[in-house]
Amino acid sequence: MLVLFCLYLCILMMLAWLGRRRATSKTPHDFYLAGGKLGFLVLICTLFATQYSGNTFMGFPGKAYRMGYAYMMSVTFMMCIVTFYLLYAPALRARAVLRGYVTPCDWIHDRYRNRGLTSVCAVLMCIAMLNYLLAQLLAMGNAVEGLTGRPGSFAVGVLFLSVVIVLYETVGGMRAVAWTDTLQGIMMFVAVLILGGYLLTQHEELALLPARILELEPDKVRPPELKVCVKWLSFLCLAGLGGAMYPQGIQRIFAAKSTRVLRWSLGAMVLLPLLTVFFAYFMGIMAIEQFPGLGKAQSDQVMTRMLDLISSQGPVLYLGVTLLLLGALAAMMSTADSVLLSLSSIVIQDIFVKTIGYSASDEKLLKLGKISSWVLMGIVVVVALQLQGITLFRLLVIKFDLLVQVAPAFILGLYLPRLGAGTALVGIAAGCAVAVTGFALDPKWAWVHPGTVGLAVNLFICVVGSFWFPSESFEQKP
Amino acid sequence: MEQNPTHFLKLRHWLLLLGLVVLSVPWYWPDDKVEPFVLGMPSWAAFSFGISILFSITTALLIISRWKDGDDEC
Repeated sequence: MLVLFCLYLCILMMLAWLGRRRATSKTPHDFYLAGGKLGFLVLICTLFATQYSGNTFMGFPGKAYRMGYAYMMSVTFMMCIVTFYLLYAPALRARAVLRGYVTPCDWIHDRYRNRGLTSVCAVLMCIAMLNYLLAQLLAMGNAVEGLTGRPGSFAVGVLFLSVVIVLYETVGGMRAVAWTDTLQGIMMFVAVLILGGYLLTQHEELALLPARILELEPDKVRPPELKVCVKWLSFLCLAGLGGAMYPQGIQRIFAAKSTRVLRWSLGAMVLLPLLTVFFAYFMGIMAIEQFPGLGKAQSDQVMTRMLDLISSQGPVLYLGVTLLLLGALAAMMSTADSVLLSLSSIVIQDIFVKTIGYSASDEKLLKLGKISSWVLMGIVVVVALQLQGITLFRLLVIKFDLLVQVAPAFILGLYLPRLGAGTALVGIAAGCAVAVTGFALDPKWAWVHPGTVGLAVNLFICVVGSFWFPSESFEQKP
Repeated sequence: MEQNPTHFLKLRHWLLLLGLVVLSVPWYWPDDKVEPFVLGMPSWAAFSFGISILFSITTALLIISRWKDGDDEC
């Protein structure tokens, strides 16, 4: 396994070198969006790798184990992200090609011509991405520790893999990132096909599964209570829309070779959770019968335990399990590299250039972007090493509550010509205030997430404000 | 009337998708009804999964059939 992983790292560096050779110009558009030339296979794999982190395959089974059959709702969650893309992707894609957008805030800046709004949106996106990057590094460290079996290897794993990620990201840009995503996506897909095929051969055993779990833990077979259902609908809204606001996802919409490639990729993406998330979910359900009575920390390891069981049943299954484990570690790396590339583009293009007003040639901005990648990764590595072993679940949860507050300004800006920057800013401020207050108070009686309430307030302000305080139509601005 | 390629979904399509998402969460299912078991799942989970399949296929079909290509190759 370790040998295969080292081979994978060598291939990553080769792809970075190839990505550098394929660069047609030293412009932000070429470096951050691969010149807008991503074809169907690369686009769908990079969308897949960006949306599905290692947590999908290693963390979801643990949650299914604890929650039982009710975690079925996770299958819809991944589909909702793609559906929320449809709220803005067609209109924004057409505009992005016409105006040469590189970052999501290029649209905000072009639409509202307001430095304050652009910087607030950029900062909210950066907070969410730093949070996400930190989660990937912590997961990578834990995975390396699990793989080597040495307690001290967390720090070495985080440091070494972070350097590898920044190296190939700064050398090859979006091309290197997208190609490595393709490699990772193919590995995961083959692994899920092999292991999913194995599950299908066990259909007679699986038919008896609910009856057995009903005897062991009946609550895990019964339908969820109303409060859980309402909270889940709130989560679908919050995380679905928040997931569709991830800058690295939006940049892939800009980077598609054509609308045809983009719509076929999104059409396929919405079907993938039926195979991938359902597989992760069902592994967790099977573990309830195989390993009953596990605590919270142990239940997070159920996927590894299930894979251990399966891998001993033949060479093909061993190959599937190896590919899945390798793919899960690669998924953490590919999510981290996509986030880092997007983060550095926003820091340079939106914060340095648009907000501070720094002016330089494209070549110099690219150099600054690469330096910022090293600096940002360095900061996150230091934080990850400090936080080793501490549960950050609550800190990680708030990223969607804040990121989703960008959505009204971002999406309604396309459809409400009279929505002004001031109204959008007030909406974001109110939404964030509600989300943070709700998050801090954490009322146990609440049936919906604080971010969802904040989003509703934000939306109300934007819609009503565009009628009561209309701004000059953006279509009339130069 | 010519379809606007950037507004390819009408209100009825959005309502259909919203309805499927709301149905995919089993808030309406009786508390104690878990049988019959279907495909290794209690009936409510199998129904929820069926709705999820319908939701994903409907969304995919809408994307493929209604979103028209623009002349936008980079």
